[in-house]
Amino acid sequence: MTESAIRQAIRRHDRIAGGVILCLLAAVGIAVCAVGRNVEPVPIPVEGELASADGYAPPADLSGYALGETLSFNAETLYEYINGQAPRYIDFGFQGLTVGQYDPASDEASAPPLVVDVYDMGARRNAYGIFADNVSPEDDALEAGNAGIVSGNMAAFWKGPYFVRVSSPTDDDAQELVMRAAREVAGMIEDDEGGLRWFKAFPSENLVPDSRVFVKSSALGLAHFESTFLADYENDDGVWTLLLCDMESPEQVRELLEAHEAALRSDGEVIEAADEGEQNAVWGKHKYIGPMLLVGRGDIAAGCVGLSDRAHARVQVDDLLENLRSVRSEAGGE
Amino acid sequence: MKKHGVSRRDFLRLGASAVALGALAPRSLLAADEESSTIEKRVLGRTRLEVTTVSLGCMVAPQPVIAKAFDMGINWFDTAHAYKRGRNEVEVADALGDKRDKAYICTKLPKGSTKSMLDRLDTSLQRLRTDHVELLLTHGAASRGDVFNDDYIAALEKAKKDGKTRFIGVSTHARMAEVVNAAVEAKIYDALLVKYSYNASGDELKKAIADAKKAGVGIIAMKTQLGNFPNPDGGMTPHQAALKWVLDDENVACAVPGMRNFQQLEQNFAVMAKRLALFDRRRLERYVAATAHLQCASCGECDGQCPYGVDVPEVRRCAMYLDGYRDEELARENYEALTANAAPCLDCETCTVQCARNRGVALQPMLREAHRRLA
Repeated sequence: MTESAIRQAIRRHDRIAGGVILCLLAAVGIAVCAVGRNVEPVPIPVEGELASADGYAPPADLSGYALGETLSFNAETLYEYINGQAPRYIDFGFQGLTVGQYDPASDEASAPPLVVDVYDMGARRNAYGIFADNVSPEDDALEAGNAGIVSGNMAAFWKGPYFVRVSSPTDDDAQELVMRAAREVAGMIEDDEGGLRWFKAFPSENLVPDSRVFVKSSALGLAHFESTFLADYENDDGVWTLLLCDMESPEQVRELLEAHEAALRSDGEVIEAADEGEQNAVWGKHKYIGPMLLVGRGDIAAGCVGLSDRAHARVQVDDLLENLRSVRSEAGGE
Repeated sequence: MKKHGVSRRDFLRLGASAVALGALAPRSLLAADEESSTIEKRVLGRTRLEVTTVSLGCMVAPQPVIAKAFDMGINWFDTAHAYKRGRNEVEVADALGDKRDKAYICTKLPKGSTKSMLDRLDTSLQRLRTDHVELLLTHGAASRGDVFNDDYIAALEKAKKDGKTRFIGVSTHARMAEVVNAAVEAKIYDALLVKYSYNASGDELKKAIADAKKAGVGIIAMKTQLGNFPNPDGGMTPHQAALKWVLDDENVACAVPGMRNFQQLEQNFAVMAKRLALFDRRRLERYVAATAHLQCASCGECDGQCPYGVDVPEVRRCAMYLDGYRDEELARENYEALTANAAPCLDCETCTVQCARNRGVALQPMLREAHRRLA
């Protein structure tokens, strides 16, 4: 099977999984109602397959809980739903959004409504990326999916290629409700891998909590940094950021280093650009980002931003690359 | 205000691909100003604030890019309470640092009760580390009803009275003409943030914007741009031309394109020193006509999708040169260089390639046609 064929198969699988998710969202509504009413959930008429290329088929209205309006958005229309935040999602590989609006059944009119947004981000790392981009320091952690948060009447998590947000548009306290619904939805998504493997390469010592992010394009404002994993560190010596760029070939890594050198010359200075045989390194200072060391090894580029001591920065980068080597060998040569 | 210049040479150096392509093509259609760029400012309606015509939509801009934009002389920074769940306002504050008093900040509040909007404004001011913003908008007014909503108006007017904002308005990207006309009629709004682009600019909206200008209501344009393919002649990219097209309307005070990186910042910044020549207009027309059904953003998501290995993004790029730029020679040159052209499309029964931006758009006919014309 070729790599392309494998990718196709994975995408098809993801789409079907996405369809199943919304088909099963009604189950959440039922469960939610059941919490307050002590009634058995009604079986769901699963429709399953994609209804069209525009989005996922929502389930028909259900007794006990009514699925109200369903909406779907693509990259051209996403701004109609989330205003100016749309470009950020598109940057992260946004594929489509399906919104299910769940109204309480007529005999349960006092129950607050629910809105479930399922963003198909096309890949696990993209789903994580947009999730991390949506985390606020004031949020509380929520055990849902691979990682989740809750704030007021909104809960969110990522799992598989999906970023999911569950909210309740009410002024009343509905936090328990959205948390429960988020966990239910998360349970319907298949994804056994857990967190992103790349982050296992980042040292845990001095790691700033919740600082690990994945940026699909233009990390740090530099156009050449695509598919970049970053994490912040802090100790008495200062604050720094480590980064890993997932490149496809050593040739691409060389191009990355050249572009990086050019960027430093444009907005700062290149202090040293060294060809070290199997490795190349660019050390310099960017006017708006700070001291930067970028090292290329094989099809990986690793960097340290913020440490003005080159030797210290090099130790950090070498540790990162060594950790990545271990992670890759554990994964069977990923 | 400090002035910075970006020479044409610097600008051309920004995109390696653009330079490479430029070297392949004649430069007879070059319309860009050969002189160094300068800052261009206009007055934002009755606010009397002088704003840079190319300003910054901060939503997608990392903090270092915002900081550089300020250093280059851009003075209007657009953010919102909801962007990145508040972190964008913090990024703006961090980027401006102790120079906040030399910049103008616009933020937006989600629609809600008067109390909730005012509470959110206090949160926004904390994040922005300032006691006021220059412009406060109701976010996403989509109808006349939103413009005249008593709760929203009460919140904005209270904020203005308390000195938490100097001016008030609404933002809109739906039923824009209706919203702009209503905002002028309301007589309380100082400036409006409006979706206005080459692709979204009917006569009704143009007239509404002109009427707003006459009434002293400042107009800020958003969502101004098109795709960002490099211009094979080395002149304006469609992205730049579309931005300049908006700014050619003197009724628009400024535009706030989003800028993800330093390259985009410098490309957009350079637009202030360019003029939109006839050739650029023609090019823009052709580009839009050729891409209307695709709206290709050059996102690359279709890369690797074809099970037969067709290099879909590159074939689309060649088709763009052919139909968008009407440069058959360049299109053929690039097509011949492809290692995986669209030959398999001729015999393929079922295309599985999906366009990320336009789900449901069938790419196969375009790919097949490109091969027929260019192979």
